[in-house]
Amino acid sequence: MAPTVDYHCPCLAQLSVPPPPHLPSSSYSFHPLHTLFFCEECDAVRCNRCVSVEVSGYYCPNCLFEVPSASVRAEKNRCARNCFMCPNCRNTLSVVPSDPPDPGDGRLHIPINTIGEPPFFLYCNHCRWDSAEVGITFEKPTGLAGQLQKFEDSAPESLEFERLKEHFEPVVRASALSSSTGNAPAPPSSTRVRTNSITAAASAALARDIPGVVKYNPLARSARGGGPSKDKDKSVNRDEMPEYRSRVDIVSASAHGTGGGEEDVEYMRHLESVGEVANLEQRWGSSWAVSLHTADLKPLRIPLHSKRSKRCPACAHILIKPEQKAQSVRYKIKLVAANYLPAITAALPHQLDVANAESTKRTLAKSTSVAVTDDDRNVAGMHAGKTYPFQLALANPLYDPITVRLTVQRVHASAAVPSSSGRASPEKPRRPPFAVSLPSNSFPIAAFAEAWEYEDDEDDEMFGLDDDDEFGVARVAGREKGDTRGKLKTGILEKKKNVTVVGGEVVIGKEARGNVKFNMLVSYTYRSDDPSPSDSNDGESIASKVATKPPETKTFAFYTVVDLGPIIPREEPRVEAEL
Amino acid sequence: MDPPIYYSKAEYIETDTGNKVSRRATIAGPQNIILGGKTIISSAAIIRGDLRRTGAGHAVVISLGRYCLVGEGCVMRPPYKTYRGNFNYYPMKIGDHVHIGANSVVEAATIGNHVEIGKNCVIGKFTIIKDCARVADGSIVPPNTVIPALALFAGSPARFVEDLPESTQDNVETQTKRYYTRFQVLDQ
Amino acid sequence: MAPIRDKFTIHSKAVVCQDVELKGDITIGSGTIVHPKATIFAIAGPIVVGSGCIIEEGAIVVNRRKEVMRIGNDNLFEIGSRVESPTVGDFNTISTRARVHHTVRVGSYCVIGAGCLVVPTEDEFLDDYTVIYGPTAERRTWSGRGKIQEADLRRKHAEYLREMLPKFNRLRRGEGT
Repeated sequence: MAPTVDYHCPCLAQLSVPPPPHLPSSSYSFHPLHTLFFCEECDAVRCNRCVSVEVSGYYCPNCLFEVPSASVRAEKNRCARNCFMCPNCRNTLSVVPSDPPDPGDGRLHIPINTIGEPPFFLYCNHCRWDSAEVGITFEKPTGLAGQLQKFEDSAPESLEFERLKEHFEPVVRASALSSSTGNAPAPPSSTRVRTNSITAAASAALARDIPGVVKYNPLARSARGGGPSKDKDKSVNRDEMPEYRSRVDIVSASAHGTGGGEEDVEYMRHLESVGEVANLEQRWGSSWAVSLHTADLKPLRIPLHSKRSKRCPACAHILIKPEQKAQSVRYKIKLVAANYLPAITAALPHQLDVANAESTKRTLAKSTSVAVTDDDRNVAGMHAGKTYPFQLALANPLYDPITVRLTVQRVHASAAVPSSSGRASPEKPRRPPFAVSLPSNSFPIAAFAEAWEYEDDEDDEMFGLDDDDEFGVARVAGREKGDTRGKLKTGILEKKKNVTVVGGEVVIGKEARGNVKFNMLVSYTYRSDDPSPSDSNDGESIASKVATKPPETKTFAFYTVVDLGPIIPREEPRVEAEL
Repeated sequence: MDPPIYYSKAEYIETDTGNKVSRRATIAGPQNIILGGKTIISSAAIIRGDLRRTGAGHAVVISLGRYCLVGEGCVMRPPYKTYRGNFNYYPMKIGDHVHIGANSVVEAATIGNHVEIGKNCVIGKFTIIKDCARVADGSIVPPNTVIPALALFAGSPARFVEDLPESTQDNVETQTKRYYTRFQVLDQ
Repeated sequence: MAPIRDKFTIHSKAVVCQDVELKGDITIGSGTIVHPKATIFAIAGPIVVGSGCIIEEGAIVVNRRKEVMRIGNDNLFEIGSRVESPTVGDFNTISTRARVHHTVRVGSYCVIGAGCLVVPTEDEFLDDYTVIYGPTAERRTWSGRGKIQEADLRRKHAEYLREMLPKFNRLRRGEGT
């Protein structure tokens, strides 16, 4: 696998320092850059785990019909037109006409210009299940869901549910009423939680005593001598409701194919082939209790999909607002992190060399083009006890030049001690098994431009931020070096357009194993043309704007995790020459 | 930083609009095929422009947009059916920035823009793939399937897995352009 | 092993494109279509293909056994499929990139789904109307509803190809026509 760089989202956490990278749980805090959002209001990174989401529209993923929100509930969140899922393999079903009648002479009789005729049925062109197998046919090939509506509504489960709803209706209405008159406990005080009548009724219902069940009360025992309490009687009266009588007795329910009971046991006992029993996945998608028999599976209306807008969890400003049309891929508002933070890609030059050589060789030999594949990993792995250079390419998405400073997060060295000792490999060293060096000084990246008009002699100074222009190398977690080859490849390697490539180095310990994976703090300084009032500083994110030369420049800092790939342990003898 | 992908000058024909077509690809009925420009047809690919709609006049069978890639060993073939008792092949239209992985077979009706199809996929007849969708490696997409915009499909039969990120269009566009830049003649 | 002797018997009403690899003793029946880039290998015994079959591009038909490999009528071998079955009945569909091992004899009206691999270790006969599908090559039996329309589609498809393929592709002619 090629080296990866993922970005940290603090998800509103108080502690903005990311977890150490060797913990498996740290992967939840890091995301690829292209999945992240950026809130301009809070000046902070947001991810799909922390944004608040709201539905902006519904559509059927098969016929692409945009369903008005008003009818979604009535149609039970599924396509109410002609879209059905195969109950056997979950492919989309097609509606097809029947064959002309068989003359019955045993031979296949194909009349000229066969045109299908009614009745129509649903047909799966993947597993060849068809709805005529379960007795479902249609007189016309349109409005299928409508034609099936009466079956759906008359299903025993559906009727039972309607009956239940009817039964509880007065109670729900009563409790909604009582909650509004102030009898019920106060709803949660947070103004963030929107309360409507249904949630209010539900919370009120939950807070009440259950009729017939004596509420546990430690004082009740001592108070028992005082006779039955009068207020309890009152609450019983309020909640009193007629006993619910189900349509079908549960004991006989399985006879109607609703699942469970003696019937199913008997059926299973006489089973001849596994295929006769519908598997879990086939029954899972159905809303109601389903029969165990494969032969009883019914086509399912396709569930609707939704388009969603996303909001910042802190300030509720919109980060993503899609266009109304279901199949449009454009957005009215799209604040993605890739437009704000520099894109960082990592590479191991020795891997690239191997891959390049391979590609060249194959091109010459077979005269066919060969893309660089992941298979080269084994040839170009990193061995324990050696030192490897690596490169980080940073691309600036802003229309202004930026200055970047990279720091390896130190905390993980100490944090690694207690947690790593008890892990899978007991001989894992107590210190991080590798040391990473990065250019310690800040370096510039040119502005992004649509048309590339760059001079080769791009000057290094960026609005006079850097006093010392020497790009030295700081040993962040320095230890004795292994076999260092002559030239060190740290510092700026290349500046081209809006991309600057810097070199780093990793010294891998002799007993190292696992991945070369470290957290890196990236802070960049950019020119802020308009110190607009929207740039409020709220302390909840690491995105603290430090005005170094107020008000022209600002600094933004974020964490990333760099994974250069697995270390090949010493024990494994390998003979490939490196570099 | 991505390394170049080399090809030998002898193998590829480059057109005025920057299309690069391997001489080792099988192009049947080339007069019925349109390439939008900067599109790459890799070696051992088969493109069936000969399976045209019956009737007089010029008929476009397969059209591909700009910055497309037809991977090695892919088969591109228009879909067929009988309609009101008459048999016919129907044209296949593919948008811009569409990459098709190696050894996939495509018999789709339409494929939108910025679509990625993985390796070893089978895209069944009359499939409709909307913009910015992705089909994972090894998927079997049955005939007549509709893949909505920004959806990831995978499996056999291919089904919806997840919504793709909002930045998909930009990512795919960058990647397909970069691929074309990386695809270079090897100077010996 | 003795070198394979080529002997191609192609019916005059069959359409076999020039860009097809044929090896060994092969007989191709009336109205059968073999697309360019298809391969028919009679490594051991001969291969006899009936009438009205369509063998698409990249499809491979191989006979590894000594006995004659018999393929019936109106079968469809889709793109990149590979069939080594000693016998194949009529009106079967071997879908795109499906592979069928030489231990399997195929009945009639069977469908081997796209990408399916059928490799039982012991010899097996696929009953008529068997459908194989999905990632684990699951099986079920097709009701057969729609088979007349499908057969009609296949006949018209072959008819179309017999007319159109020669316009764009050079054809191959066998010894005994």
